[in-house]
Amino acid sequence: MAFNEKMKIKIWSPWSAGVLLGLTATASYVLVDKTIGSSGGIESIDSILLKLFHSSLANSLYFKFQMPPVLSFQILLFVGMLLGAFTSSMWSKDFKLRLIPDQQWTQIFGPSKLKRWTLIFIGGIIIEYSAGIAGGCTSGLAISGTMQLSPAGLLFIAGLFVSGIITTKILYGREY
Amino acid sequence: MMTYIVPIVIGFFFAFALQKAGLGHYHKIVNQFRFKDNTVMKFMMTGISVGLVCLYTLKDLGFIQLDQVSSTYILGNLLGGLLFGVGMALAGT
Repeated sequence: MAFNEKMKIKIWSPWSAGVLLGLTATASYVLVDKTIGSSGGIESIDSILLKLFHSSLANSLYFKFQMPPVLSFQILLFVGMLLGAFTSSMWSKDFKLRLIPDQQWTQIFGPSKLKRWTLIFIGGIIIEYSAGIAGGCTSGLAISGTMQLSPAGLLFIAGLFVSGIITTKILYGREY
Repeated sequence: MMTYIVPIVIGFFFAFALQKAGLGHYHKIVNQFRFKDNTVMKFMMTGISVGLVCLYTLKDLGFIQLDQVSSTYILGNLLGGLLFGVGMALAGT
């Protein structure tokens, strides 16, 4: 199959996408000596914003030394990630703007947009906060950490699946 | 200049892989927790295996040093992971 045809497939087999992920992570390690991650970038942006508005939080140890207000590697990664996801979805004509995810959400939770947006906002806060506690997110700790055989990544994956399964079970109830 | 270009290119391929695996969709993430669709696990484990082999080969050949290993705090990692799962199941991201 030609290259263009392959790129137009909406969803690849997870194995081939995973190989691309592994190669990208290795390239990042070799080229810039950094690991892929995304939660740290948000905290760097927070740090920059706090400093911009002269918040007293900007003087806390965490935002001064752990996440200094600089244009970090991960913020640049975000720029690339937006471009990459956009290119990929445009190429396969998968790109669309929508306020509510397809089918499954509506079946379980009904068509309320407010509910979706409230839940995703709360979920986002929990995700970012716990990424701060653990020291990374799915990409930064689970993938890049385990890749280097760090026990941190494995512990994180274990915790993530235990509570993820329980939460989904509670949310879905009898539909699980 | 290279310090700005390289991260953007890496991010490009990273998100490309994620989007092509279909992980931009709510149902892909949540169905992993329901064991209806194992895309997340397959994708993550392939990524980890490929990266692990590449990294350790390069390390043994002396091209790189593994100096970015995430530090382990058993309680922190485990608690963070437990909280993270709640957020992930709620938001589906």
